[in-house]
Amino acid sequence: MARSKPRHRKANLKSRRARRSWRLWLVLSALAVLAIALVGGGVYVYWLDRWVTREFEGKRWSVPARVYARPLELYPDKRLTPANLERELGAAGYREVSTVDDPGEYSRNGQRFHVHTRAFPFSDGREPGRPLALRFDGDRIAALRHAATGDALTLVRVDPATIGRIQPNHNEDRHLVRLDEDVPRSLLEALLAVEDQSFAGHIGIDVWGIARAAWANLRAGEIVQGGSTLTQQLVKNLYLNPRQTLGRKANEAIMAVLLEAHYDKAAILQAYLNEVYLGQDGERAIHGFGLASRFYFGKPLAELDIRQQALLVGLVKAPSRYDPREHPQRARERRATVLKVMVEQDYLGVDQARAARSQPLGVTAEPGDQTLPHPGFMDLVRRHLQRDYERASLARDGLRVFTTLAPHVQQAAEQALTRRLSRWHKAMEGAVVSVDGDNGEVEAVVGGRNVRYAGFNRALDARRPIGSLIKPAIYLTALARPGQYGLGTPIADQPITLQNAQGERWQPANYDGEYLGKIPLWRGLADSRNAATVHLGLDLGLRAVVDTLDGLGARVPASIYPSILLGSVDQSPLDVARLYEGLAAGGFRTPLRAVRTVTTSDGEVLSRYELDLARAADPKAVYLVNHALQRVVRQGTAQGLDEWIAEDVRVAGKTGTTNDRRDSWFAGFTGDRLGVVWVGRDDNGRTGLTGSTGAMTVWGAMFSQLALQPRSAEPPEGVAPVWIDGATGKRTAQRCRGAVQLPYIAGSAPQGRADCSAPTNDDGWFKGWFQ
Amino acid sequence: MVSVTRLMAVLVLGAVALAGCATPTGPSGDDGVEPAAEEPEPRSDDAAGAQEPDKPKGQPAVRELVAEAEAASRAGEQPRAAQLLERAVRVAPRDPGVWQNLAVVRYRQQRYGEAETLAQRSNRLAEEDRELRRRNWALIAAARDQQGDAAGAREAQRRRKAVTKQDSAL
Repeated sequence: MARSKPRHRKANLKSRRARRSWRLWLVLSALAVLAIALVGGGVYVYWLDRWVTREFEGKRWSVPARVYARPLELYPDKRLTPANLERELGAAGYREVSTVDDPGEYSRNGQRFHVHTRAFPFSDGREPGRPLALRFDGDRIAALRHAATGDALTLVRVDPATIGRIQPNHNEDRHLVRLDEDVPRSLLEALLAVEDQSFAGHIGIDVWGIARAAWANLRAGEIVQGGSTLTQQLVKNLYLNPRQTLGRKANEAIMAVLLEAHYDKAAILQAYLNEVYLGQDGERAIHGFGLASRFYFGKPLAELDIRQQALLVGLVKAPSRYDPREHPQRARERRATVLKVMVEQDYLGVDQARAARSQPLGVTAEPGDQTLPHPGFMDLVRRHLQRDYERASLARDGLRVFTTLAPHVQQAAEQALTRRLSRWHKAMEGAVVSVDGDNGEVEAVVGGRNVRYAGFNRALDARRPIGSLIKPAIYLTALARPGQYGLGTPIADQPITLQNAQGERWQPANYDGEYLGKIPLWRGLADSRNAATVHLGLDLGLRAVVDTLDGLGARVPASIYPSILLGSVDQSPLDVARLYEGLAAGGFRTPLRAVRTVTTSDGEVLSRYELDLARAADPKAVYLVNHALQRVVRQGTAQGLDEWIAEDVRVAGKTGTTNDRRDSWFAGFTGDRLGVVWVGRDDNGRTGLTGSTGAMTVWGAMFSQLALQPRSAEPPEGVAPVWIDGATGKRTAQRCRGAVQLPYIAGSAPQGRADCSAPTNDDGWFKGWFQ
Repeated sequence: MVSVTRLMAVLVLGAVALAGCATPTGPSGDDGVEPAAEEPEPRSDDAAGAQEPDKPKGQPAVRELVAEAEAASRAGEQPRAAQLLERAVRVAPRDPGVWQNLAVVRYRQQRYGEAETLAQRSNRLAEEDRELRRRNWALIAAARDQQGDAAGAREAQRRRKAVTKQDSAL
């Protein structure tokens, strides 16, 4: 034992030494761990901090450009149908009610409307919101008054429909709201009362709140209070996945404090309002109060009443559990809770709360989806803007884009195309472009039969042979030489064979396989005679025809063959609209525009795309061509249009059919509007349709929905009507057989006179100028 | 040439004061047009029920916009004046007075080519309004002058006088 003692002591000593070194080691390593933890934690927090600010800046500034339709202008005598006024109001988010009280509402009683417009800050001045009383007389506004004062109003602009947003890459739709403009005060009060009472004072986390919540939960035996601040909820929505773990909770708390350190309460609150998850629409998550308001109530956030605001605030806690469409009873109870808290916090009177509690939920039956997407038109807007704006800036800077889209015209185009196409083979596709004939503003674009689908935009990108749609350019070339050609000049409708440089033969044939010999020039266009047109075009020279096309602003091919005379040149419907715009505007060309102005979010104008005019062709010659194009509709290939459109509208138009009926075209214009329709197949297969059985019917169905401005019959200075003998092209008198009245450019009427054969009555209808 | 230009400028300045409501009253006469046939020929009547295209009836909406545009133009705010007149064009595209006012604003913006085309467009619509046509030709002459097209300016002057002559012949 004695031996063992020292040994023991030794051992003791050794172990003491060992223990000491172990302790030292422990202390040292603890210190090291602490240092590492501190450094690591610091690095981690620093990293978190960078992440938090970067993401938040990105989100905060990422306000996509908002795109508006053109505002509807109301004034006495305006041409508009009552049904189209309703379409316009619907597009701008107006609701039909029985009694109009608030902005954004309207009522209709037959030809009479009450509309309460919303105020809107246009770039050229603020338009006040006003209660209007309108009376229609047929397709015109007969009276326009202030509904309260009874004063006659001369001109009112309705706030424009929002037609979309230019998003970054993702397809998320958001109605961003601004704290100071769009959010009712009572909604903020309700939100703070229910979700975060100490928001104004806390630093991102609320220690007291957590303790309070824990106590409440303990007492209740379940989770009744969250204890998360709005900032924490925002962090959760912005940065984290929804898994509930302790680590995630800690992260959330740190990030919330960091966020508060960097940004003020208003910025955080605004981000929250736009970020918070409030429901689900199939695949699409409903984020933000702005979108939720549209989704549940079909109107903007600013227009919600207390009960609706309370319901939205109630949804924050558990959107699917309280979904007012799925679980209305639960939603009512949740709303009552919110109202009760508001009363407790003195934000709401007891009576008001009681009144709100007794009202129905006020949710629309179907998800009120604010804007109908018009992807075809938006595509054109995007391309237009890309000339002057960077993509990133459009998706981020909150710009406002004021476009030229006319919602009721767009709807008419969409409906006409889808309805007509549904009667034909399912592979049939189509496209429509509609343009204001006076100023070149694009009113409607439909890119395919699935009008809501942003796929291949046929209106802009389907380049197809245009067939006979090219013919007016050839006849315009001729009629611009009044010494040589007039509408009555006889031209040869005879077989013709051409040979190209490779020795290939080409025999352009008439559609009916017949040849009429000599026909008056106007008939070549009205009846779309291929042989006569080729003869005429070759006499004029291909170069001259191409120059005319160029003058009208058409896309001209690099190499020219005689087959261009029958339209073997590929153009998109938009190209064709450009070509015909020059005719519709009487020889003046205006660049087609889809955007009027772009402003900052504060209304400062960044770009204005102004009305611009250039001479496209001689107005006198254009008048003569348009006269022939009117005869196309009166007595030529487009006669069938009278099924849709009254004769006195004096539509001028042209049908086009390509080889084997692969493409069916119609371009036509009234006094103020040009429409171009293409029908065909993406695989370029046969359609079995001609221009008049296909595209023209779409055009007719569309324009029959619109209030039409007749084309002017007034000839320009230096054009006068002359009676011409149809057979010889010489002058004759009205009473003579075969006499046709045609406009001639002064000094160019033929000199010789035809023999006047016995007057007849049988073709009297055919003679007059515009009967 | 300088004095001519100055004269034109004076004429042009007067032009913007014009209210946007030309009122065509009937079919055009045979001004400058060779008679179509020996016997007088009635223009074929449009069907009685046919709606006439927007004959500007001195739309109050247009008057209001033109007055506002005039004020803006006088205050030197030409872009705003142009914007208001573009709105007026949308309300009454057939009103030659509105197009002329827009031409005047473009002239004041020293966009002479556009001013000329707009005045021509106005002329196309102003068949019966000689006073308006005279002013348009004066504007076209001034615009051409500014673009260095002396011959074109003289031709426009000739056209202006031709309109005046028709007037005094009446």
